[in-house]
Amino acid sequence: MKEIDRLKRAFVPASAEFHRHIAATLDNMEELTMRKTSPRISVVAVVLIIALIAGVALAAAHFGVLDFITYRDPDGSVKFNEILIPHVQPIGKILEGEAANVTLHDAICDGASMSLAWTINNKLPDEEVYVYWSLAIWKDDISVGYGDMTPTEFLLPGGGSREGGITTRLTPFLEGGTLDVSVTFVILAPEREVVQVDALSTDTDQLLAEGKMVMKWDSIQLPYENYLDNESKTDALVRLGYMRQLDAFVIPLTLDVTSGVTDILDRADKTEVLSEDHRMVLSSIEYTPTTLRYTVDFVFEEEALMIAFIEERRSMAIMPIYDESGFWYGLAESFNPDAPYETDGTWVLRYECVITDIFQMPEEIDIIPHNARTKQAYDADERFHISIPKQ
Amino acid sequence: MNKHEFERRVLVLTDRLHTIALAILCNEADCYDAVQEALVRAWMRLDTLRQPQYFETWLIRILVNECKRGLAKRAKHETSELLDSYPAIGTPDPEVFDALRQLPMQHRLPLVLHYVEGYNAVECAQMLALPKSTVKWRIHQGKKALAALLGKEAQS
Repeated sequence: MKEIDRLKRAFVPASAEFHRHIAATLDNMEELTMRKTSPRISVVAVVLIIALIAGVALAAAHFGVLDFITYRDPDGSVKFNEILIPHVQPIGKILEGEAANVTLHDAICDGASMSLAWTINNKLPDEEVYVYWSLAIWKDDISVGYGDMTPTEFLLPGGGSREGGITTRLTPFLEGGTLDVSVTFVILAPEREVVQVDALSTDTDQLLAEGKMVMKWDSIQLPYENYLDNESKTDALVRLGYMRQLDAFVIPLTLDVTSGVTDILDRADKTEVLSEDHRMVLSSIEYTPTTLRYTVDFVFEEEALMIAFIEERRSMAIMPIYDESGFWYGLAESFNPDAPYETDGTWVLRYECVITDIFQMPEEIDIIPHNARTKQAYDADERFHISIPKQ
Repeated sequence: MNKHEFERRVLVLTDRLHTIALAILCNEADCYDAVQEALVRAWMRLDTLRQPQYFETWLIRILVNECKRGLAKRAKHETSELLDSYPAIGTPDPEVFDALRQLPMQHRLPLVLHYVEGYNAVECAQMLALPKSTVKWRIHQGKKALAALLGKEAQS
């Protein structure tokens, strides 16, 4: 535990300069707020213009799925993936309940992910409502995606609304076809006093014992043993008398997979690099309009060589090396292997990198195993160069 | 809540906001931006705050989301030159931050959320949209890696 104690002790109160910065921020809040709202207007305008040019009948005047995949540079400029515009599938479903209305706006579904946008309105004049949602995705009756909201969202009475949505990765990646999607919204109202506690609070059990409904962080707390087998959280909340259900919407959708997965392994300058004690193999690289994914294997003849390699490259990453301007293509995540595996007498360490929410596909990338901290390559010869065709 | 009350509550929380941002970003300069951006977002969305006594939790949630955005922005801009020019962090134990920076992000984020912020594995899983078992494994791996990195520093 020594390292954990050091971790906790490493954090000290903020400097006087930081306090002055916060005070200045508060003093200038009106100006900062205006700066922030202006680019949003620009986003809508740009989306509208490009939608018209593309001849796509986007209902972009309201919140929509493209709002998820925008990025604002520190200089205020807005970037988004124009290639996605033809992939937007309008839904336009409005469901009216006793307590809330749900509007599903539109969706994007390529071979790697599905994004969906909605708005929920509270119709009750004087009661706040809580919203839970979940979704399941199938292709040919096989589950390929799932998502749910474990935190609780609430809507204020008298027209409180929330714009929301989800991006879910599809597993495995898909080649065209249609998806069956089921989206469920459950609208609840509290039956007990709601007590909000800090995330670090230790009062939860006591408050639950007193019959209170406890919101910790943004999640309603229930003793784990109060769940029945296969019971959802919303069902448990109603059964235990914490909430009453006002509305439940189950919305079936059929969405097209508007783009397949493009394998570009053959566009790599090479797929294998030999070193003294291992081989580095580019096993796969493929992309969709929203996602670029590749896998690199390190293959060893002996387990001892692999162990030494892991020790030497403890901080290794295989995310792409960006160009000189530091251009950023999307949200990159590099997955280190949880466990090596043995096959045909050799040991394999598999690394995967997935870049999601791409707003501009790079024209080429270099995959260079490097130290995540220093950005220095471990071996000058270990490099794959891949050109990516325009979509 | 009026502006005066908003300011009063933020000023009381300043140290804590700084700690949370620093735990995730490990970079003093980025903390300035993240906290400022979080405060602006909070002020703009103040009408979604149900009751004033929930202000602290509500604001921290916004800050954590802003720090995640900050990490993505840094991924765009981070170069070896920038890394070398990181400003010094006011800490009694700079080696800890040096070690934190070396941890892969998928280990570092659950580690700081769990040990520095005190969230349990279920809460971390909710925040990171990962299975609980994955979060537990990553916390375990992160702790091991941190121990190894700090041990290595001690030896050298």
